[in-house]
Amino acid sequence: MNEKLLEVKDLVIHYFTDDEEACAVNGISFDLKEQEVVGFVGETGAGKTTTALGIMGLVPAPPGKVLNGEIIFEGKDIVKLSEAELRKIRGDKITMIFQDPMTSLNPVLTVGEQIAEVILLHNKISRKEAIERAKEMLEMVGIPGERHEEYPHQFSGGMKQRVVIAIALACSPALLIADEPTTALDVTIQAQVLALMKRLKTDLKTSMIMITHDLGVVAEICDKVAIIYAGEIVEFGTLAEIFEDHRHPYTEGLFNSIPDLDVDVARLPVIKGLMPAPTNLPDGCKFYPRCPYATERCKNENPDRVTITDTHIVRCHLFRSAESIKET
Amino acid sequence: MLKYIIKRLLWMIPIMLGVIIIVFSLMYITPGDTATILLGDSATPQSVAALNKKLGLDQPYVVQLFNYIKGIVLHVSLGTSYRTKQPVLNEILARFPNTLKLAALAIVLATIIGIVTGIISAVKQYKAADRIATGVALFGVSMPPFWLGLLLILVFSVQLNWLPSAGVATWKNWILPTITLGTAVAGIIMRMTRSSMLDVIRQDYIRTARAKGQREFVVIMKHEFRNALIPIVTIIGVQFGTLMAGAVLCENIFSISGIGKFLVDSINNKDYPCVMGTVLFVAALCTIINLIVDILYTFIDPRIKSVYKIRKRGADNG
Amino acid sequence: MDSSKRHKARNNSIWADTARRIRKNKMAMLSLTILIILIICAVFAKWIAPYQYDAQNLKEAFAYPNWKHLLGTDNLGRDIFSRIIYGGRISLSVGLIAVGIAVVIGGGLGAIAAFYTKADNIIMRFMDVFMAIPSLLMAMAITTALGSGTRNMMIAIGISSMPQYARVMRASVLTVKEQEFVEAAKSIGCSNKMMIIRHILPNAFAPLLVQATLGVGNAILSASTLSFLGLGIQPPTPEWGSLLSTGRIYIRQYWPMTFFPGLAIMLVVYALNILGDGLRDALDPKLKN
Repeated sequence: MNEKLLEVKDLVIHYFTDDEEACAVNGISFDLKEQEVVGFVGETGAGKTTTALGIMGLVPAPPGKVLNGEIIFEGKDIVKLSEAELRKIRGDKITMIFQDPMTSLNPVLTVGEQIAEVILLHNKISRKEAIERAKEMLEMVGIPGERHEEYPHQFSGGMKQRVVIAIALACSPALLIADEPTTALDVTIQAQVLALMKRLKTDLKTSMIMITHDLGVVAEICDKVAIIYAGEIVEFGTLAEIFEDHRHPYTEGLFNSIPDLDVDVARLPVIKGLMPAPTNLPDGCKFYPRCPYATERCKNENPDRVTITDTHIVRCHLFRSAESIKET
Repeated sequence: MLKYIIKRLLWMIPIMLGVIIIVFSLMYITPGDTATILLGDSATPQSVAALNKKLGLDQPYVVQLFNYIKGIVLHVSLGTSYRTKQPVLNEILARFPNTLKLAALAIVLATIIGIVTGIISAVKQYKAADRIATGVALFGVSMPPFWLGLLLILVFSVQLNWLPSAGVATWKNWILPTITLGTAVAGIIMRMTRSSMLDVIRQDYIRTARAKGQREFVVIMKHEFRNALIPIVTIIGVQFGTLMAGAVLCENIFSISGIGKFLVDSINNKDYPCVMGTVLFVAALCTIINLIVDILYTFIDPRIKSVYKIRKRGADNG
Repeated sequence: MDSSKRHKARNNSIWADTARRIRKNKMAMLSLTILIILIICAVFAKWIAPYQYDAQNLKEAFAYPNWKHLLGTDNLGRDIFSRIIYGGRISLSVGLIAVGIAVVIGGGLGAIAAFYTKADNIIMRFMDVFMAIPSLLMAMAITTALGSGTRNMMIAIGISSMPQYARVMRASVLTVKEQEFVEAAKSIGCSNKMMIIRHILPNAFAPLLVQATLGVGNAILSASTLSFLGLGIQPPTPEWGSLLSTGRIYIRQYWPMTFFPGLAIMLVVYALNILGDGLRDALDPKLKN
């Protein structure tokens, strides 16, 4: 029943400045099936947002440039599409929720106009009908429809994010990319927005890419998880595989740094060191300088993808096909 | 909103009072005895004393100042010209239409050119078009307006004989003065438009608009420009003073009978009531323009309007 | 001791960074070179100018540019090139001194307004009154009152442009005052005076410097405007605006008298504007693009 909706193959995106080249995305590959939610987990600067912008065809150029790879969406390669063809997809079939709701809305337009704008762009209906639809969308995300004539500054942060979600869902997209939709919000508001997204996911059957660095959010909403480090997917699997049976040392480090209420420890184990700057990546495995299991081979040779199960892929020299050295 | 406008209008009173005091004091300390100037060679000590008494110039500074302010408030009078013996205000109003026409033509030209080139420049940042436009705009800002005026006369009146260089007889007369006056202001507006557009281009809501699949031109005009307009309107308001100063020059270069030429002629003729009156008139004009600009804001920026609403609500509740 | 040393190092590095960044800006460096050349010409006019500025030679009046007279001669046969070099002396010094007056008075008042809340209202309302009169008109009124002449023109332009410096200084001191390193200095027991001199003023000065650089250009423009209108420096003193004003009479017959002095004004103002822009970008790279 589940068709492949999106297929990203070996995507490479770099940013070029006057004297530096920032390697933001270095060969990311993954599939997304219909009605599936994939979580992108990683530190700030790991290349999650750049990958998302690549899928939207919105990598700012210059300085950004897609150097390699394919992004097959509904049989078409987004990388090769013209700007006009991309515009038809953007906002209609693929939409995006950005990180900071406080700055994502245009301050001089009413929220109704901003929702109606995207509806008018992709549907052949009158302005009046578009405003009606905008009001319905507001109701759907839990804002009274009559508030459509108000301006963004009259809404709170959580309400603004609801408006942003309404814009993203206005044309019933096939794929919704949510870039840290809850990070900028208060904890209680976070829970509300997350609950809303969960409800919309089941109601509208939209596929989703959920970018976050919060494993709690992932556990709540995602079917599959991609752990991203320095522009590469270091581990990819189902929710259960990543949470119960993660293999990559980085993933292990991530889970170890979550406090466990049942075990009282004086100090949480942390991953030593910092993620390397994208302008100065190490040869070999990108995680090697911080990896507790690093060997000479990791220093010189970047590991290939290793298939553990049909759905579980890891990028590390410690593993060979279905066997794990750690376990033996 | 109305409350705000009234408050701002009331605030004009102390400002204008201050302007009157400054200008009056400057004219008061100006060297040279007015009566002697007016009477010329035929002056005798008796006639000078008599004229001083008639003009009220024998009275102390404070009394003279008070009389001047009284004249403005009670009789809407800025005094009488020494030279023509006509009320100063009449002299000014007779010449004002020409100044207004020149200023309006120049500001329209400057705004159109400044905003269009500013937008292009910001959108094509660091490309050839941007570098040329910013370079030319800086020339506009740096060029002495009187020099530009003279060069235009040199080329279009003297050499090519296409356009007249003086007077206001036909529409052709207005072309060179408008270009002269508009150039500097266009440069300023262009630079402001560019920098404020660049500010907006980086905002997240522009990315939101692109993510909707909006066309780039619409993104620029509907989302970027409307937000960038706020500082641009400010600069147009603030530059009104520059515009009036430029008008003084232009009118003198192109022999246009406006208040700028009147001001310089009055200074040269030592006709101090006219000098005072003209400076006051222009200052009042600038203050009113700035008030209008502040009111215009509320139409461009909904955030400001609601600040008043909240204040009003607060006032109603309290 | 140690902490003050470290602060100094920090301040130095701000200016060092600025210097490094502005050296990269080719246009700004070109402008700086042009300005330095012009200043040298003005200072050493006696040796650089080929003729005395008032040396008349009626036989050679209205000569077009040639090898003997690089920019031609005026109505009295005086060498235009020499007159522009001598004129630069006056125009540049009027610009610099007028801005100096404006910076000292305006910057001082602005700083006082920012530090003493009680004085703030009075000073800034006074500035509001001042700003209601367009600065060129204000300068015209002041020269009318004081009479023409170089010194009076400096005062007139200085005073009429003072409010903008007061505003910039006040805003920038208020911003710096709110910053955390000032809080930190307070918390380690810095005295008020020490804090103002050591920490606030050096950091608040940058925007004023940018404003002043752009302001010298404007002051030169205002000065030449006043002279052009016959309200500033009178002939035969060779100020650029008054050279233009004389040239205007002969515009129909002879263009070099109008063209070259104007070109000199534009060159200086253009260079100052580029330098000012470059300085602003270099001091605060965030503002750029």
